[in-house]
Amino acid sequence: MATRGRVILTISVGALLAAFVFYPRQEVPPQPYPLALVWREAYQHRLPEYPHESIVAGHQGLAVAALWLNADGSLRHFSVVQAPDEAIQKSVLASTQYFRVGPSLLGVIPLRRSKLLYYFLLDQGHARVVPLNDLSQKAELLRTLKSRGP
Amino acid sequence: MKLTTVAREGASVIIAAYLISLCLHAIEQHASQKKTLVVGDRFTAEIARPQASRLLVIAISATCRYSRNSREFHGRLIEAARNKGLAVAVLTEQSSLATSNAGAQSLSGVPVGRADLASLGIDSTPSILLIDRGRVYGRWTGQLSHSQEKVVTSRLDPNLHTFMRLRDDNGSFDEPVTLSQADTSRLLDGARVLDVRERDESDPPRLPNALNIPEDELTFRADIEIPNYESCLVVDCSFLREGKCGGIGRLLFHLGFHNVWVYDRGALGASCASTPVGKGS
Repeated sequence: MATRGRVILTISVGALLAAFVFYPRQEVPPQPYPLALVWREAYQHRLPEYPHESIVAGHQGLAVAALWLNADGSLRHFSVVQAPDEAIQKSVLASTQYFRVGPSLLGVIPLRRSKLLYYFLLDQGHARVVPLNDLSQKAELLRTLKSRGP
Repeated sequence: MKLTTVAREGASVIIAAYLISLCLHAIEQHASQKKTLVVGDRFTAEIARPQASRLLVIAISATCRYSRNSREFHGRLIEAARNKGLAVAVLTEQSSLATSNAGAQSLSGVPVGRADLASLGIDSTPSILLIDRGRVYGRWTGQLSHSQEKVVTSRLDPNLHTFMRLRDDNGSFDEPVTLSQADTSRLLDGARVLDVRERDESDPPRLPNALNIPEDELTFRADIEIPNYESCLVVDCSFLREGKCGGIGRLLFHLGFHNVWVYDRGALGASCASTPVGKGS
């Protein structure tokens, strides 16, 4: 009887402990993170190159990369969700993998969801890539566009 | 202890642990499936006569003062809904109110039914839902202002739409303007329409010619992509969670757009969490 009782007790306690080990942890939903802040917190980034074929084709406009960042700032997932053409999409994808950011200044956030916005501009023969997350560069772009007129 | 006994115990532990973890996971997944109902969602609960194509649902709480303060408006709304041929359901979580004649009579004779509001996707009281052929086309939460009450009453007819002009950067709006479907289409054709949902959110479908700038990108893109600040800018708020539209209007006003109109805006007034024991009484 004593042996049977010990077996049942061992199984019960062991099962409870193991259940916590085996239990599939639920994915933490990503928290939206301010676009300007993620840019300020970055300690390494590369601007995407303006592909020659896009310049020749006269393609310009907005490209957007979506990022999922772990608590330590490492990239968990990234993709390009909008781009004027395929060459620009590849260029943004290539540059995004070099984006490095530290832990959030707002506290510990297990998973952050943010975006990188780049404006590909052909301005009087010059090809420029403007990171819109940087509000000062965005303001300068706005002045450029307004000076060109509609 | 024999080796076979140890092996048997170990195997039993692993199997039991696996089964327990499966059960816990299933329970957690079931709990996380509960979500708040928004415009465009299907309302599957059968709480009205089956043949009713349009339905007005009012969720109230006897212990919530905002529900009590809204009782007179709810009564008027029920009358207006009946005149337009809508089925009406009044729901509460409190069993005392559900069985109380006084509570039922106070809402224009509509019996107050008891329901698990959270499982229906109603997280606050008072809440008003307008449903057309099983799909939510209007939702308002909390005690509403006079102009918001006018919007709800107009929207009893799904072919009528409301527009409200943003008055200042405090997020206050002028009195609503109600237009028919035809006039709405004409107005939207001539205006710049802004859809602030994410790129992958397209249900309900976007309005024709709507410019999609997700909410978190507005600061960075709106003044670049909408160069004419003075032209009429209509924000499609028909699908947005109540109260969100005011914040978007304020942001656009701050960016320099002073001719901003919101289309079919929901509203978020003071409300109580829909738990069996109401708060805010």
